[in-house]
Amino acid sequence: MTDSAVIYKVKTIDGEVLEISKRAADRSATLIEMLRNCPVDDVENMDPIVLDRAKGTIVKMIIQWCEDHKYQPILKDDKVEHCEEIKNQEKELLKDLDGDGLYDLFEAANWLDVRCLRQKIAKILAAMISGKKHTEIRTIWQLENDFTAEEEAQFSTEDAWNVLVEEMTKREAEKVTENVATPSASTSN
Amino acid sequence: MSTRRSRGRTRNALADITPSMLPDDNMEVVTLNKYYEYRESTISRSNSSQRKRASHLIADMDDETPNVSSATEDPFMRPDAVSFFQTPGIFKYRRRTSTEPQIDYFEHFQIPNECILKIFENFNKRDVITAMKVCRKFYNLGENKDLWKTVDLANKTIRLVDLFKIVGRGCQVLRLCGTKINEEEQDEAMLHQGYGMLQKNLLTHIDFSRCTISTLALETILCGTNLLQGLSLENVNLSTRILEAIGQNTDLLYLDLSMARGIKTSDIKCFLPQLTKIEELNLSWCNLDAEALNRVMQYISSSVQRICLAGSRNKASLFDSHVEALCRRCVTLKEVDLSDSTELTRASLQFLIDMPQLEVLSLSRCFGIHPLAYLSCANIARLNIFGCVTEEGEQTLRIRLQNTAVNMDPHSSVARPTPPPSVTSIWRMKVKDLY
Repeated sequence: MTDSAVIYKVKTIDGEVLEISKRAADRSATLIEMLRNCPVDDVENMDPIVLDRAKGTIVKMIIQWCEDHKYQPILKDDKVEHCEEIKNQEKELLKDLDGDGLYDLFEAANWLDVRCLRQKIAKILAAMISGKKHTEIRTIWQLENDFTAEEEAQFSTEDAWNVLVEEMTKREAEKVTENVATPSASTSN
Repeated sequence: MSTRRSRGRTRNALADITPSMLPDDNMEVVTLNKYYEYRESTISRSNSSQRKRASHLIADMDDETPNVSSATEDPFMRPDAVSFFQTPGIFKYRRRTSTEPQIDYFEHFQIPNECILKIFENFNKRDVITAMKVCRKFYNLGENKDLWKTVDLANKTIRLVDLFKIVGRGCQVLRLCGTKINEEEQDEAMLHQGYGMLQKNLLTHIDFSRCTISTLALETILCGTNLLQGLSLENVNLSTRILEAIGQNTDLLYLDLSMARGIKTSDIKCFLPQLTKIEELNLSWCNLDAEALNRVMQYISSSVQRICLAGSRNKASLFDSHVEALCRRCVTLKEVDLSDSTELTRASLQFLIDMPQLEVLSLSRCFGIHPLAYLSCANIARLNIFGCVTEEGEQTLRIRLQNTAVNMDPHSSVARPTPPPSVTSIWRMKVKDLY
């Protein structure tokens, strides 16, 4: 297919020039727009597309991901599917990242509008803070508490969802400490 | 020392320095310091709330997630990204225990708001609320109406102000069956002053069945609705104002008022004439007398397809004349349930059988109809006449009416929001959270 032979060049903010095939580039809505606005006649000798908001390492990862997933269908709308296990692919993605890299990748995926990748990273970030208390989230994500004391008092400490869950976990904890020998006490979905 | 099974590494760290090796007091101080150091590094781990210990036990026993136990147990191994990022939903009711602050720092001003919203979209309501408590920015993002389109509060307890907040955020499908709504003293005063009365909301499907809510609060919520398609007020105290509010929802398709209290005869005309698109109507056990039923027959729209009028007042208020009027007016009826109406006779049965589209007929415990009359129900797909025939009679009917399912559905599901096999959806609208 002629499609797969077409390779675009992309230049990042720190000067690196990288290559991306057309099919992989189609996953990025931003790249599609850019190419539509300035159509490239001669792909071999084209000036590389300048991506002035993303660093080399991150763009490399995104290109890698796009190439790996280039044959998968592109999401048209942003529906959230039912949560699945994070598959091995994503785990490989994460292995290469240090703490900051994930957020850079998220931002870059948003700017380049690679929807599937953005959704997957959003799920990972959601898993990071799901189930935590709000004080813990503040520490993880270095956020300041800018509520006044009165506003804090207004937050119900017994909002509907938390009450039920606390009771259930207490009950489960009691059950488990009673029957330590029987693993059947633990919950399953 | 640690009560958990000691790890090889920790033991060696201290085993190197044994009291027997120490010749003088200085060395002994060093030993103690090393011990205190070790204790401090493990103090955050052995900080035991009952829950944490229990979850530690669960983690040990559960083969599915060795990662969790390794993250919290071993003080010398930092959790790596792979094991730390766990998907929600593996242990539905277990709160995640957290260790000390994690290694990454997140500068939020780099990530645009819509991205944060994308993260919130993966949460269940509990986590959205927790996130909203973190900072103002998150609070404003958390109020986005896309996150609150469907809310399931069944059998939970919630304050009235919180419910108003949820409704105000643009909730569309709201399941409140069995919910207990707590009011504080200032709420009643505010409601009397008309707080929230004029606010239009976006609700399309509400299930209030068996809900504990004050009439005034219910009026306030319902007065703001005009987009309702499904409403259940089963077992709830009603007032004229509530019924008028129902009347302003002309798109209403499913209305379930079974066992509702407080419907007066004069109220019928407040809502029934305006519901011109109604498809399923359940007015069973509402204590309606004969005059109220006359009004029902007068005002009911001909679009109705499934109706349940079981259990009128004293079980003796529904007469053949009502049934005749109903059959004349609503020719597209597919399901009729008139159980527990002892005044009906064979004539009613004839009217009903003559309906061209009737598929399901329930006349349980209608003792005025002679059992033999049911032999002419061959055109009806499902016939429910519990209490009308003996077991042999039932057998006979089954044999004689080959294409009819006799006595298969003891409970009516007309206009009910969650008939089996549904578990949490209301009128087939999903409300369940992601995890």
